[in-house]
Amino acid sequence: MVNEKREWLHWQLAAALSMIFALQAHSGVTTFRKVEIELTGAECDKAPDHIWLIFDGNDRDLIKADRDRSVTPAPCIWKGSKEDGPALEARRPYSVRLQGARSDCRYADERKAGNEYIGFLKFAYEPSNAVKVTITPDPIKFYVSYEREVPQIEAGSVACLEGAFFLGSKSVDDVMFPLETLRLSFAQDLKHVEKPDPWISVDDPLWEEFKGGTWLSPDAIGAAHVRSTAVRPVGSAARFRVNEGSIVFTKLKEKGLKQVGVKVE
Amino acid sequence: MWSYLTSLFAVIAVIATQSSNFFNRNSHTIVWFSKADENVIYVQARNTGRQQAVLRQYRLNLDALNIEPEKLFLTTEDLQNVMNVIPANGQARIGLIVRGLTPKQGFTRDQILQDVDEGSKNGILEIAIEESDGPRTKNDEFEAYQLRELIRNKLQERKDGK
Repeated sequence: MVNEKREWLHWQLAAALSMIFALQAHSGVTTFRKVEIELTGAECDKAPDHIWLIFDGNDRDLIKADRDRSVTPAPCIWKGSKEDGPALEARRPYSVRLQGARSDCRYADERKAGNEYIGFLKFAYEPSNAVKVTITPDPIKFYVSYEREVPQIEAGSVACLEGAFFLGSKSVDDVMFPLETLRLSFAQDLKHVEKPDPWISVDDPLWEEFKGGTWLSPDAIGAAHVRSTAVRPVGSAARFRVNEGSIVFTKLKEKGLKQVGVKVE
Repeated sequence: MWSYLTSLFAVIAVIATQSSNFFNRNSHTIVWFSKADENVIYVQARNTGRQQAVLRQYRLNLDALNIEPEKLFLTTEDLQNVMNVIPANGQARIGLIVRGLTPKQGFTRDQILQDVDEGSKNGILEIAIEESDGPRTKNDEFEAYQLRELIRNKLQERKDGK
């Protein structure tokens, strides 16, 4: 009986140790620097020759990929590589910017090609009406931080957050409503750039609600969208006065921000 | 017995996670030389902590080559993209402009270029970083030979002639 118990204990220990070793082995993540991107869809041949890959939400370190023209007719395959910095990993979100469209976020498949691994990605492509959103704080010496939130839209895609910062006025490219929500925030010094408070959200319900509207006052946003505001239609510019209304605007005014121009085109 | 083991491993896992969170609660940044062209030195920075870090000042130390220390500046593009802020658990590549290099007193440009071509000397990048728990200076030593084009382009004779 004692021997049986001892044997049972040994088995349990062995199982536990195997579990730990398996977990450790799993944490040894395979990395790669080269990627192949396939765009699917009937119109994939209309996609631009140069596209940009975003890895792990880093919207300021884009990886350029060029259409593979090594065979004729050229398939809807783009190839790129990350030359320096930390290498790529499969189980982190990727998305592509397509000059007028963007993709959802997906993980890569890693495959061995010769002595190295290559990351393979597949996105659906259809020409779209993604917009360029130009943000201009007043005064201009404000740091702008933006975050793009994309939900999981179907099996195979993953929810992701992408973002970057900039000083002064700049555009955020290939913003695609209603797929994503764009959040903006403003900081007067570098110490608070990454997680400034509050955020202004530019999401699709607000986008629709205020399409064709006139000036959007913070009071109009009211209690329903205390942490939000919206932008005016494509091709026009909106200026949000930061002198009244909601908590968001009071906080921004305290920081010294007078107004924010948001131009969508 | 099995339940004891399970509990033990669960406790170990919780302790490991919490300690990792505790030790990484502040920013922790490392920087290293990446490459250089005729005008710009590219530097990689990685922050493994849980708060942002800010790269504040940059200096190139080529003491081994008898070149005066030189202050470096972020490129205009990187300045606008605020690339010197390294997000929590994030990384960035920054470009640093070298305005000019001057030989130390008693050394000529030709002597120094000869030393550079020999390839045995090292340079040091010194970067002042504002970590979330205070300022630090991080250095990265690299083969100065990797700057040969930049040194050739930027090194001038001393203006005082000494």
